Amino acid sequence: MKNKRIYNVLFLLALVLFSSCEDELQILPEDNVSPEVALSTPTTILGLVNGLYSQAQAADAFNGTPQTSAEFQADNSIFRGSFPTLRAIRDYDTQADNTSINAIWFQNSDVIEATNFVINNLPAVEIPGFSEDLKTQYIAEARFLRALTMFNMSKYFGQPYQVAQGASLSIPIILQDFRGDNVEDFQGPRNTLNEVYAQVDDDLQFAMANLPETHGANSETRGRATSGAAKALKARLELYRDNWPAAAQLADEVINSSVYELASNYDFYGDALTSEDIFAIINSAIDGQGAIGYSDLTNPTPGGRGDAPFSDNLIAAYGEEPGDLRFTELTQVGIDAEGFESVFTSKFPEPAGNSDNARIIRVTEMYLIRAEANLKASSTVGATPLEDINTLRSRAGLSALTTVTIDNILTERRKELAFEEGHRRMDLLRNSRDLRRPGMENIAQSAFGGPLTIFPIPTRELDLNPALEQNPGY
Amino acid sequence: MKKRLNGILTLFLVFMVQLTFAQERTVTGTVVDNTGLPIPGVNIIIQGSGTGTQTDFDGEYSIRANANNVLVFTFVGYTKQEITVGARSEINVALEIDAATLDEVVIVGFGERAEDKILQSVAVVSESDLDDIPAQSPQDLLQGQASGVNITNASGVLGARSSIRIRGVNSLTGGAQPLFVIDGVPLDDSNQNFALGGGSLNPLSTINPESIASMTVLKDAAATAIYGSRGSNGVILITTKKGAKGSAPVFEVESFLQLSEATDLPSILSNQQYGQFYADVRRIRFGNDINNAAQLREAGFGDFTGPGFDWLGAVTRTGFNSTQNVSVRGGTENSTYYLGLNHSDAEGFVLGNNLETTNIRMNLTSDIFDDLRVGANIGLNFSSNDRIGEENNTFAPVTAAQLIRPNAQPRDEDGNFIPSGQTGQNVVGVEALNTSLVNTTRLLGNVYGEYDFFDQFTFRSSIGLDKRYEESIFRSSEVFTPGGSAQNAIGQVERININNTLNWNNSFGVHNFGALVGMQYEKTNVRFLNAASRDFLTDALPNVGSGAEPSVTSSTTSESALLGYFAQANYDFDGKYLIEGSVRRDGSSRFGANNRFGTFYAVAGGWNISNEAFMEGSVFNRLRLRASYGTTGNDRIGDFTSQATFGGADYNGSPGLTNTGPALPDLRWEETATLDIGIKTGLFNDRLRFNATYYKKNTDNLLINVPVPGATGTTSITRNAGEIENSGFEFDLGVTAVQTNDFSWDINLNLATLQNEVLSLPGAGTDVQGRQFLQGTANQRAIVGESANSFYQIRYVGVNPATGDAEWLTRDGEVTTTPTPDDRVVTGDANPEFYGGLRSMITWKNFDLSALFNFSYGNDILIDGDRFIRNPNFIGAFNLSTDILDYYTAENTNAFVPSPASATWGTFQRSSTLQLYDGSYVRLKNITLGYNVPINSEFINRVRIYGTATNLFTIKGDRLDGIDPEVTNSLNPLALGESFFVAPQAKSYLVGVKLNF
Repeated sequence: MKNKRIYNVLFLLALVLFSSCEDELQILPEDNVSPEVALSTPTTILGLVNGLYSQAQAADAFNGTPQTSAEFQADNSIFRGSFPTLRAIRDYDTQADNTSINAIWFQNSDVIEATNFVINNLPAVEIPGFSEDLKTQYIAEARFLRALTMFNMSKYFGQPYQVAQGASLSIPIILQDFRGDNVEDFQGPRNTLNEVYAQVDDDLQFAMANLPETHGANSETRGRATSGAAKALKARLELYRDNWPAAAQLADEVINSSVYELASNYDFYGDALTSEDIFAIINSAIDGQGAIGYSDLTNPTPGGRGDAPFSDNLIAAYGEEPGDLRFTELTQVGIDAEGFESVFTSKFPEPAGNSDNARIIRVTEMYLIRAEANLKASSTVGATPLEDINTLRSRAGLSALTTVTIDNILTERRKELAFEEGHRRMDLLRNSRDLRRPGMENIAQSAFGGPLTIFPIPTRELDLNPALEQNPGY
Repeated sequence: MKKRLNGILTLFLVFMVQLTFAQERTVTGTVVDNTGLPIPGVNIIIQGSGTGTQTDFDGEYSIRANANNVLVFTFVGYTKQEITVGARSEINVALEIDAATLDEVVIVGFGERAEDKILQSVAVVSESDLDDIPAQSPQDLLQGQASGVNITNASGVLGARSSIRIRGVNSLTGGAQPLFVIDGVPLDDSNQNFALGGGSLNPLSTINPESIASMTVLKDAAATAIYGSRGSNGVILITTKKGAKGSAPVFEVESFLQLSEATDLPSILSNQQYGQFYADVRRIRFGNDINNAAQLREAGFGDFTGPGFDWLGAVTRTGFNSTQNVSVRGGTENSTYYLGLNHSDAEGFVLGNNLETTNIRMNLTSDIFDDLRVGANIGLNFSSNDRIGEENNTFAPVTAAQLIRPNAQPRDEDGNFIPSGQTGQNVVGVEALNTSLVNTTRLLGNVYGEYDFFDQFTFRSSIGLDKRYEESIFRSSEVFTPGGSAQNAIGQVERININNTLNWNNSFGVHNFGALVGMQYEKTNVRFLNAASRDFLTDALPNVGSGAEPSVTSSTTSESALLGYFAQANYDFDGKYLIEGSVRRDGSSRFGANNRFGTFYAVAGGWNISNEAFMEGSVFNRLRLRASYGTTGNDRIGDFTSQATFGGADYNGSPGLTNTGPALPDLRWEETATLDIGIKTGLFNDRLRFNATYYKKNTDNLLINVPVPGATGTTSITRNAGEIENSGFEFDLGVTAVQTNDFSWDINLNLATLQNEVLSLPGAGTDVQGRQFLQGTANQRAIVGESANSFYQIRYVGVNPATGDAEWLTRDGEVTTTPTPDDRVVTGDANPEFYGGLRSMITWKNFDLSALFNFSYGNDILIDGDRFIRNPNFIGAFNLSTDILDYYTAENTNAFVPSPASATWGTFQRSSTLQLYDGSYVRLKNITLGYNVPINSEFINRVRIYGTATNLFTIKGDRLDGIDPEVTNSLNPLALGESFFVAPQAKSYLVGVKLNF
């Protein structure tokens, strides 16, 4: 019996010591798929395109951190609260290692790389049931998002076109996707603004030509790239580079599109997606902006952080013409991050869920672009500047003007677009104006062309890419 | 084996002979220890015979012997005594504690070694070092007790994790913590809960310190190579208590009560101070005509005229802990048992922080046949941790209480809690109304069988399980989150561990051989389910399901597997010359298909000089030289880091995919080669003990997260790149200064030095000085040619007495008021130059007094929270340290803070050496006074009452007033010694009683 036991044990021993369980080391993740699987079916490819919008949802990309930081640089809002990095932006003592700015660079770059993956890898995909038309549309959606992201980054990290007619340094143009072993493709030097704008223009023309006017569902027509959205963004691009006739023409075409219509009131904020919207990033409670986005920053405590109350200067601007519905209907009073009662916008009414949509382009902006471009070009494409401005004033409950100047247009833009897309900062800069108004702090540093009116290239990026040149003053 | 058999035969023959000729009579007596307490279970053998007996429960024995017989009294941990019977019929014996034999057998790797054959570098903390230290968690038992083990408690928050570094930082990615192995089961140390700002829960808190018999710290490759896969950062083996064969049951009941408070808290402004300072700043800096708090209020800057509220006082309290331990251990002829129960109910010194734990442990062994043994070690833990936010969290009590302005009130006129309406939430209300619990159930244990065959072989097979169910429950009241919010997460970890070993031992005369082959398989599966919602009708509905709007619905899994084959062989010649070698081949699922397996090895040799004939009669009872060299590995990267993956990312209600990182199929094991040379001595029969070790660890193929340009869409990719070196000396000095029957005094000092240098970091970023570096935090970097934990900052000079401006140095050493990030240089090192502990144990009659100091010298710490509470520019926004009242004026030119009129007012607290402190300290970690009550009872054997104080005092630098020097807010190997509002350690006072019967 004892011998038998020994043999049993020896047998067991041999079994466990020498049997191979090396297959057990082959473990695949359950919550992710490989790139091959991602490119294998029409539905997974649609998933990749959805993923681009999802990445753009980052607060540091399209959902409010850079946009609201632009308001802190300019005159609409004075930052309140605890973030030293945002205080530095407010106080014009930003350093190149500012972590908020680093995150803005990173998240926008992340969107660009993801679009590059789709743009570069989709053309070779040949699978049954995946039509060339659909493939081209997906690539066009990616190119629209790439254009929008590069355009946005060029605003933050380089001087506007008006400083050197586009010859100043902007961001590096990178059209590669990352495969792990091609880091050198991402270590190129900065391009000039004109080069960046040319790339953006190229992407937008492709998008205008290859995107549908509408998608099946209204939410997709407003929340995904369309030919109208590409055209509207190109109108903004032309305005930014002082190409007035093109800007007026493109804005006019968008206004005349049956897809878009100027809203009759201001009920379109929040969750709604109406014909006012040309392109929005759709957020929801379960798929929100994330922390420190639009809703978090621009709402008072305890719902939001209370970091971005109205500046006294903005309140005074609305106060010059009492009864403006954009003040009476679109503001709230609450406690700011430092415990004081302040005025806040109510354009983002759902701070608890950070679920408000980010309105990237709405048709109102097209009226403002058409008015400004017509005024500057002394043209009347579609309508006179006075007509366009009075259309918007009438909606705001204000009396009609009899004449219109660039100041009137900038004021309308300010009141109409406050806390959206950070418009105010670029409106001032591209019209060669100081970012701050008299009576505010740091006016000297905020002057047009001033080195601190743009962000530094993050120190981290300089460390990793010696070809990058730092902006002066950092 | 053969030798022993011969011995037994001889004894048997002698016994037979004596049986015939002896004139026997009965000898009785009592055996007591050096404190006079009876010792049950002492073996009494008639020398040269097989006859023997044991003392009973009361330490009494009875044996038949004749006058020529020599009685040999032996008991583990005590010096052997031999007494010739003579004419006496009653022989009472007092056994002396034998320091040398306490750690006679050391658990190393997959087996035990006699102490005098240890070639590895190990630190042993034995039962006698642990027994009378009442501890909350196992790492409390290690701190300051083992050379080369540097433990930094993260904070005084209950259940907080500690940073444990064995011989420095050897790894730059996630895993610099050692591997914990409990009775052969490697512990999973992942966190399966939410981060609440900072701090993470301690995976060791589920191990009851009371049930620990010993801890062995394996430090060099000779010791850890057998754990090859994960030995690079050291291995800590924990052995739990077991019964002894043939021992009557020993019951033990212990109960202690503990009060605790914060070691140190900063001094912050009262409402009056705040209002006056604010008024002064408005006047001096902004030219407002404001001279006092009343004018400040009129100007709309807030009302600081009232008494205010003491927030820091409101969130701290006297902590209270009540702990009960009950255990019984013993054994029959064929089996042993240990059953331990423990219950602890603790309220921390921070408001809202409570921890309740219950531990059950059952360890059993049984001899089924002479050659077949089975056993089980099972531990069951239940804990409920009422958590608080920590560090970078506006809901963290210690953080918010320092930042919230002193005029804020927690309640309105009707007595209801109100939100503070500022950064720094009303944490008094939060702790009263919100819920944040982590409930954990953990089953940790193994079952094993051992089979001896052919007399020389032993086969052992064990299956271990570490199964954890961890549930996080969070609920925010509608007062602090409009509509309220709830979150519920469940993490489940299951780690199965299978070990099979075949052991062979044989001796041929003076040639002693041993060999072992084995395999190990381990699989870890983690499932995490997370749901959250908001918009509740009422706080009375606590669960996620009652919220109208779901905000998180997530379920994820992760899995990894490890497979290892290993072999070990040792030989010694007569116990004098010893050599040993081991090799292990390990495969990890975490690496790319091409590189899953790594091979690790170690060789060691030793010379027991004291066993040589020429040492006969020398003062050395022990003199041993040893040296080892070997390699170990590290696979602590993410489970799927080597695979390119696209992960879920929804948009507009449709599923989507985003790239989470490129494929890295070439990733392979990180390898650490360790050279270790040591000497171990014992003089005058171990009255003086001195050990010294030199080690040099070189880690190659470092698994590092090489940063890449943001344009790649990822911040870093994991690569095997770089090399790091740690070297140093470790010393242990023990002195038994006094040893008499009534009085003994033992002193043990351990001290370790540490030199850490990064040798290369290919692919990493390049700083302005052209050196490659990896950034750990905004202030800390691993830089080639420097320490892996170098502080890299702008140098702060001070406030210029002439101008009132704050001044810094440029990189070239010029004074400037406008430094830039390019002016950063290496300013310090978070690693200590040396660290260690000192323990003194005095026994006098029935009293014992033990004191344990730990110390750290030469390390710098970064108090990052200074950028807030010592930043005068935050006046109006946050409360501040009273230090900021020392600002520059014409009368006060030697000031801490620049002039409010200065342009540097706002940049004064920019990151610089201003926030860097010398972190050296000496701390009285633990002092215990015990008294063994002389008792004459049938029922009770021992009554011990004791009092313990922990962290009673700390000697530290002047600048550290209000700051606890023992801080770390991260376990990241690249982020050592930084604090951002880390809660201080607890100072505690404890009284307890322990009964044996």
